[in-house]
Amino acid sequence: MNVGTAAVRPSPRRAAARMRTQATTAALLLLLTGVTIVFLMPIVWMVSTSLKSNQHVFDLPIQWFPRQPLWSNYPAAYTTVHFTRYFMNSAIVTASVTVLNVLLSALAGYGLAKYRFVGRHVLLVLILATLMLPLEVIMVPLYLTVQRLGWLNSYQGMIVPVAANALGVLMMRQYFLSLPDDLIAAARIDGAGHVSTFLRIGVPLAWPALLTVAILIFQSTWDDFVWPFLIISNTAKATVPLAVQTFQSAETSNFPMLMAVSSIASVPLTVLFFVFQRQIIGGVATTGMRH
Amino acid sequence: MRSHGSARPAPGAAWPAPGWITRARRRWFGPTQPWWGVVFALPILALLVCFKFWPMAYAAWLSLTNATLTDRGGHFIGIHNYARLARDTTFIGALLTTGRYVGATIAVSMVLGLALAVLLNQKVPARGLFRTLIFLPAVVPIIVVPILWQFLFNPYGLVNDALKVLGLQPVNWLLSPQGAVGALVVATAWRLTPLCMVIYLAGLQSIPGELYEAAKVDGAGAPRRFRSITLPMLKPTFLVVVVFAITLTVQNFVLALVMTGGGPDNASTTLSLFVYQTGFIGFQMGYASAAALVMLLIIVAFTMASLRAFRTEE
Repeated sequence: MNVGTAAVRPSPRRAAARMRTQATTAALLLLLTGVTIVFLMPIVWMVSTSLKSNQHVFDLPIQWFPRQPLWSNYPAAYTTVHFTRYFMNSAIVTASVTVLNVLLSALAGYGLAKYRFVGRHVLLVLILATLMLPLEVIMVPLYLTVQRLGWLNSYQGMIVPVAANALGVLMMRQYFLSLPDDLIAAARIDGAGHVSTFLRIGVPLAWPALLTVAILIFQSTWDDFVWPFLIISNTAKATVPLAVQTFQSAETSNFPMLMAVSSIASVPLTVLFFVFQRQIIGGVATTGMRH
Repeated sequence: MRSHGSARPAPGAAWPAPGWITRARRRWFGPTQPWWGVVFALPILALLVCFKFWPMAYAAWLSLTNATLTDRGGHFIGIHNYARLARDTTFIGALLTTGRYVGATIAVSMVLGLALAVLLNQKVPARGLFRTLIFLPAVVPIIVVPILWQFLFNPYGLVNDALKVLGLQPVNWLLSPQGAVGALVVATAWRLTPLCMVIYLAGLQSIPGELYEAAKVDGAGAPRRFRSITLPMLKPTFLVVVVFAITLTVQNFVLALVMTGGGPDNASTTLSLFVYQTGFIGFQMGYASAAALVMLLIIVAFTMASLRAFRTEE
């Protein structure tokens, strides 16, 4: 609204307009609150059930805040599932995949953005084509390949086959393209080798992009269920999602315990989300963009 | 251009034009040594070849054999597996279920996600907080989603309680063919909608505000502005959301596996769950690979179709 025209207007009309915008804002707020409640209800229900005893789970009227919360469900769930071991396994696998993936993506992204070799577009398209190839399409031959390598029930089996991800290459290439070539040319003229130029100029400058890739890969690897589920049958090597699923198939109707286990398993990704919210939401928005 | 331009003689210069071998050599081994680019890409290429391209070729070969988990080589049987798929009522059922499941999930998530994004793109107090809270379902671990919703869709669960409050009949969700697919759609859309919303929001924020100002001056109301500015300007975003949503829903079988196990009577067996069950429960690696290739074909076809439908000028 323009100040000049507003000043000429008679004041009752201005007041009415302001009333109207306030009413709209209130309506919007109400609508958004309603939608938010609907979306959060399952999560609240999960936490609330995890604090009940099994015979009161389906009590009506619903108790959203149990009168006597059974906090003891949590330590019980934690020890029954042996969460410490599975958190360790998940941490080992996720950290290795993330480090490998970021390193490989940064190298390839740098090579594809800063060197103009013949066939670089073909190479890029070839790498990006793998984005259209979900694990579910190749899970059978991939399983047979990993079996032949003797990597079933092993950390390397969970790490190496998923360590290469074209999404990271794409994001790193995009970032390196935005860095001025002069910086790299200057370093090269000063006599720095290709690798040391990458390490001393490329990596330090690219680290916002490296962080985003690392967070996205960390999140999706920690969350991955299918691949470990296919190749891990030995519980000693299981990751958190596998442990949760195993518990679920054994204790189908122990709802409070099941919800406590689910809540504990949700903690790491939730913490990660709140710490790196900007990178995660931005990452979803841009990775979607680049598909 | 920049790197090897100086090495090349200017057109019309006294030098003889170099042959293609010389040109190729200069291009590759010129002063900037462009072949180092390939060196940098080699490590990831090696992994992609081993764990993406090779399995893909292997899948294509397996689909023409009768390989099993124990007899991994199998015998070449031509297109027998594909012919068998065409007659397999379970597979046809899985195709139809996938169509219904993917179609309904994408329709719900895309419409709801757009509505939410438009709401959150208005000037409202605390919209950052609302965005964070609505995004939370996408943060819940994928394995927790089916466990949680299986519980909510329990005959005495929260969903039926809500239906009763609204004066509707409770539904036997997970044990009826219609209800099982419906439950899967709700659970998937719950997690997918916030993701779509975030992509839409990025798209909405890239629309220049002057367009709306100009339309307002011309007297266009809010519905008209939405129809004539927002929707056309979001065309590239729609493409992104559709492709993202199709890939996610077609490939994902965790929800069906844990929530319904494909039941009752295969009513909620999707294509990817069929591949999993055939390969890893039935151990028919060849047959499962044929079904997996059909799945890939569907993903690629739909991606291409949406590229067509939402193509923009550039």
